[in-house]
Amino acid sequence: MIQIFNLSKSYGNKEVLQEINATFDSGKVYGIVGENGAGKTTLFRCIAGLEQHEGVINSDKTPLKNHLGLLTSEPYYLPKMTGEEYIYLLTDARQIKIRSLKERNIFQLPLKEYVSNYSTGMKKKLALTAVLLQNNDYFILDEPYNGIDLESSVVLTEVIHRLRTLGKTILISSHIFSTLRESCDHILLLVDGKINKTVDKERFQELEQEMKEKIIQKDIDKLINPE
Amino acid sequence: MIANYFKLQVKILKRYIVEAGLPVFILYPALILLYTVLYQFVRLYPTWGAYLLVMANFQYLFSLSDFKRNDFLKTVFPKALYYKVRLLENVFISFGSLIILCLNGNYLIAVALLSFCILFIFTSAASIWKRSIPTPFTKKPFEFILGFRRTWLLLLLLYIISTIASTANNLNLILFCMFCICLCCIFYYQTPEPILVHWNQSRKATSFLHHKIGRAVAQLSLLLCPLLLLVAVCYPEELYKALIVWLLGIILIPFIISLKYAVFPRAINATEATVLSLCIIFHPLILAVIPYYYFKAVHNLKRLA
Repeated sequence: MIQIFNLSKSYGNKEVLQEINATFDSGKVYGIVGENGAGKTTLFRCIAGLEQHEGVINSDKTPLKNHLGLLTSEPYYLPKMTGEEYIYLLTDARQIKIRSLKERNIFQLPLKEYVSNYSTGMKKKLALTAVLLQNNDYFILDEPYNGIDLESSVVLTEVIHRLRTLGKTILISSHIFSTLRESCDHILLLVDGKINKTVDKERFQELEQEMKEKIIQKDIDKLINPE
Repeated sequence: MIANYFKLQVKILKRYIVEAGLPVFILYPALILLYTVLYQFVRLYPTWGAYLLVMANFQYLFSLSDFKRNDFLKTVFPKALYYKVRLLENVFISFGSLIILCLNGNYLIAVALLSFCILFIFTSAASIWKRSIPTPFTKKPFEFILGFRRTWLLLLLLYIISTIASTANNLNLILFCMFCICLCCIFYYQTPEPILVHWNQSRKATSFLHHKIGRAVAQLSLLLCPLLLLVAVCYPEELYKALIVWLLGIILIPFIISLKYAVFPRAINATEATVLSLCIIFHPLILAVIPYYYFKAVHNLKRLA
């Protein structure tokens, strides 16, 4: 479980997160949605301890950072490093020994090749594989479905379901609402750095419709029918 | 077109100097000073000095021939211009060294260096850099893996020179090659990893440093192993000399790792690089400096955790 109390974060005068309060239970999947710049990534970075912030973040396993798998929207790779070496780098950092990596390569990645030769989707799958092999209790998946093919997105959804049954806490951000509808138990709508509402599974469709009307329709009208 | 390209290179070079905290005007006097020192060095140590100079150039030529860089240049310049640019780059880099070698009468080595300049124009076409180069360190990331891939040609050259030296009964040259390998490995630690990579680390500060040092000592020893064996077979009564060089290299490891994490996440700056150079020149200084940087690194890592 992760508990957040009065989390605020500013960059200079700009308040990116304002008084966020939330509880993320074990065995649940939480979706975080919001427009670009709403503060999703900053919220994730604060939870991961990558940003200084006001407020308190508690977890049942401490330090939180050592039990957290973080999949960033654009994973960073060191140059001249193979996929296999990247996985060993991340698992070794958590003192986890991997035997038979070949068997655990569920996305069929060319692990002996340099990561720089991978496509965007392959890079994402590699980062996800490494994060999963770290045996974490909490997961933050920032735009995990971006760039990956249909088959892999089905696998990813199934992986998230399995993690939930194992009692892990999972936070996902995505712009693809259908993927969140399938994987999440709750969705939090972030607007201008504040949690605007938290929606349960039964009301996902309602939220999707509301977001479509509010954000997309308004913007499309501006573009297509500016008068 | 070519002139603009080289003007841009000079601009980039000047930016590096500014980022290192030095004034731009220092570039030309520093270059003159560097080549004067190198000239004196080659004059004092005709064999070692000349080899060292060629190896340093070799490393630069190698990095300039990086396939991604060259692929980019190929998209910018027409084919004929591309080869001209690459040749000019290689010759500019090696020009000072070529003059020094000629002034000291090392004509054969100068010809070899010039051949490298021409050879490296075509290396990216061979596309050997695209394939992942196997290393003995796969499961033990990451500095030695990346460093080995950057310098494997240089390491191979050092092994070849040592083998030739053993047939010519030149133990000192083998010892020199061993020390070059140690220096090479030190530079594997000069660039810090992004903070997100370090973020994954669950070890406590001291345990992390000990783990890193222990691993690096083993990895450096592995690279030195063939030459230690060579000395043990060819000069068993003088094996202690090789062991001394190995020890000197081993001492450098805790120093460079402590230094890297004392200033992490930024890179080592000009002042710290000067301390590093002084320590390499006057080795016992390392023993005095290690505790300072070690405790600074522990403090810094605790702060970042």
